[in-house]
Amino acid sequence: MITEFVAAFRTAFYQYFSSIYFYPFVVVVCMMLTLRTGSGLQKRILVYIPVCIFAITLCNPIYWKLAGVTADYTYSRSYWLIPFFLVIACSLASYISGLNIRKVTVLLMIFTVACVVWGGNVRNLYVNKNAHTAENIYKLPQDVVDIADAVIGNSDGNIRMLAPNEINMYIRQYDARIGLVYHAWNEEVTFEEKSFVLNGESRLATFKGLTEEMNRDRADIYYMVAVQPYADWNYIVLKNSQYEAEEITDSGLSIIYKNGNYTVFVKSNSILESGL
Amino acid sequence: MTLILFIAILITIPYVCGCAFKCFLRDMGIDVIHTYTVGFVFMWLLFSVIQVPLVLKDAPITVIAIIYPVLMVLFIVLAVAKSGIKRFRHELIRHLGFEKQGILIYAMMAAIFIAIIAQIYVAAGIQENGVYNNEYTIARAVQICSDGTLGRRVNAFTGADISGISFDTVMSSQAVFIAMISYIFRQPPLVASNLYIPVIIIPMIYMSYYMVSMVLFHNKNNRYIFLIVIAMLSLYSNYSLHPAESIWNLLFINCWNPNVIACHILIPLGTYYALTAINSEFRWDRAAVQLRDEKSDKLYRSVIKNRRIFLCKRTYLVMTAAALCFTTAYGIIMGTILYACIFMYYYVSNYGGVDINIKRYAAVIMPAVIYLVLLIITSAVSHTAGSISGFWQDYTTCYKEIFSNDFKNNMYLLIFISAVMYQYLKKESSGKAACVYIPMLVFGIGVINPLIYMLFRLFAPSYCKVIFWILPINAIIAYTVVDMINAVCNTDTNRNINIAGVCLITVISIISFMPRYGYNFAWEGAAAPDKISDETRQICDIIDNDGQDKNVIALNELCSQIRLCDTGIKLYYYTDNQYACNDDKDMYAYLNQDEPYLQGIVQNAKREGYNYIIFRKGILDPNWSSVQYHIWPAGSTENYDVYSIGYF
Repeated sequence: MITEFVAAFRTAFYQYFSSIYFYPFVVVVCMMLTLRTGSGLQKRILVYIPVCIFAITLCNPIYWKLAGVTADYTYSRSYWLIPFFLVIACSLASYISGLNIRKVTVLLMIFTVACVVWGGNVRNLYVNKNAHTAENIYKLPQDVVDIADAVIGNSDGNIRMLAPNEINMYIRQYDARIGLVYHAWNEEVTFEEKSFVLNGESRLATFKGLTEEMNRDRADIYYMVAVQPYADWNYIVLKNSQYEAEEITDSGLSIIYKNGNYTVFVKSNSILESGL
Repeated sequence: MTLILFIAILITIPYVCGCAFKCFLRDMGIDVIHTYTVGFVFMWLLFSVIQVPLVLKDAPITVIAIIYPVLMVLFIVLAVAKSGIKRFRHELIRHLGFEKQGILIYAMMAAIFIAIIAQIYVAAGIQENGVYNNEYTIARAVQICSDGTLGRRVNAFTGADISGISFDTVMSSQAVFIAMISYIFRQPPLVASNLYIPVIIIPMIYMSYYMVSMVLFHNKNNRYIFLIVIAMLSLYSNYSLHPAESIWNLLFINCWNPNVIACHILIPLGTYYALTAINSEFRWDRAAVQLRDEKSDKLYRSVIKNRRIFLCKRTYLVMTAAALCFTTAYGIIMGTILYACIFMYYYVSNYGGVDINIKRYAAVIMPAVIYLVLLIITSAVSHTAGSISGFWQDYTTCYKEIFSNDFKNNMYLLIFISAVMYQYLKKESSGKAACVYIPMLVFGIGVINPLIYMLFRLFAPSYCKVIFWILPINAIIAYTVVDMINAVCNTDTNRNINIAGVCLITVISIISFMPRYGYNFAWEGAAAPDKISDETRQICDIIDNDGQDKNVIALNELCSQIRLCDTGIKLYYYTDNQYACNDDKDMYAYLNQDEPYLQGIVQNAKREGYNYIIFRKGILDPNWSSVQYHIWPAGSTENYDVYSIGYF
């Protein structure tokens, strides 16, 4: 148990700081500064109580066990209770306020410029490795919006879609009229899971089976068609690289929308005879 | 234009509500930002509370869009009526006056405003690379807007119908709030969440941290420097360093996430209220102690003033803790830990000095305690019956079945109730406690208590229908009969006639009212003392004579007897699908349905190495079974056919 706890502690630490290890170092330094120069209340709020919380929660194997009961992330997010930024900000503010106005102004300017140049550079903000400019006001991938519009425009109201993870996890945030056979974050499927025989091989119509097939480099179209009577989908979205044109002809699917990345198919009436 | 209207409402209404709230509380000393935050928390709490019944009742979204503003207006009107228009107007404008400040303060205020605007712009305009930035809250808000109702039982991720709605979904009001904003301002939910919500949340975050800085710093300059440093740190951290699990990261990417409100607004505010409440309590106690030694008006006023401050801060703190309960389960856990740590720290660190009266803060923990108790109950209920409504349905069905199985066709219950009534009405009855009060308590607390039923459902479901066995029905009836006989025997007049009458009534009761043979129960005579039927023996003999390993797949009704007859038999599953072979739950359903799924049964049986299958007679034509499924008839009884599986 102790080994697991130590591993969990380490993982939580890595998750929270994401290899920015000078943060905890800075916090410890600021805490020591507060202990040396801060008021009694500052010491209590920024040092003693956070240390107590750290000891009671993150360093406590019993808490780790209990937190695991509520949710996977509860333990690692207990770091949110430690006021890292407040400690740093309070120390800096205390230090800065001891200087005269001119020095304060210069220091703030340098600090702001450093932040902007090094971290918060406006141009860098939109093209850096962590974030990019939103493609639309919905903050969804544009492909999702286009696919959803195409499907809504084509349907008579009843939509059950089978789509790769990068589409299905967003599309219902754009329009809730689009029903999904499965969702990447929700390990449930909206039909009774079954096993069936396809080309003499036993296959499974389950969340796992569907996820694997829908997210492969090359999708097995015949499997998707064979699953149709159980999953009851009427629209399917595939990456352009996931299928060959002749497979589509054989399977009796019709294309309703295609862009540079994805193709949306609708189930045609002949589908029941095609693959089963 | 809509956004400007929204901002105008956002600026004014929480402040007016805060003024109304402080009028009720008679806490007139708080400044503009404090009043605004009080108003915001109150509005959030009010919204969160009223959405609960509406979600449970699946009310249309129009209802909450009307009820919520109406309740706000009513609250303000009540506050105006209570304090008077003049007083209320005075409170509104009292702290709004312009106070001339130094140039540095203006510069820093401007910097903070710019930081807020920049952060709103960033929160609305960027999205994270490679991380799925929208999740359940938004999906549910979109679902609500699409349906036009608040609590339709739908899985927001897939759109599939579900039987119930989970406890934390009901308690977490954020999705409904986004849907309401979207509905009122006629914006798509994603626009409401990515643009309108940051406009609410980000300024509020700075106000909360400003409140915290009021505790940390007495100097106004320091507070502004503190806020600027926070803004810079968050910007620097997020776009340069990007700590993935940081709450600050969440603030920028998913501002609408309820954890942001919980961790950035409510918990800091709660911390401020907790610290100021403790501080005022200390002052109150010190003044009270001094007042005992030295009577003076100043000390008396200090006691009154600090007590009033303490009560106000505690009220704000309880309100904040309650608001946390309706925001996110994570928030209430973290908030409770934080407050508990603060109180315990002060309690321990001041031990022996100025006492912190921990009981005075019990109210702060109460919302979390109530939340956790409800969470545990509903989790257990959901675990046992799928949903709350499913649980109640199970509960009522169970008691209906108890009544119809055990009491409907006889007078047993009536006799029991009559006996209890007799004991209750009888003067000077020595058996009142044993026959009336204790059984009634047992009945109320044990038999019909939904919690007890839930525990049985959870840990021992088969005992649910026999909970009433705890009532000593026979003993009470017998005691009452003896009591009646005694009473009659002790009567001087016509003693023998009375005894004869009681005996006659007892005999008639037994004959008339008790369950009669073959009327209530499907009993039949046992063939032998071991009570195993002849047909079961025949089946076991067939299997025994066939000579293969006795690995058997039997119908449910045979499972309970077949191993009593021959312990050498190995069953694929026991009754009701318990102890299934390799946890294969399918076989039970395949075999016991009206038309067994023969292919599935044979496939699974062969895979697991089972040799015999017992079907109801006539399910399969013995002449064709070998051709169709490669199984051969091994023998037959009056009601069942036994087939042997071929492995050729």
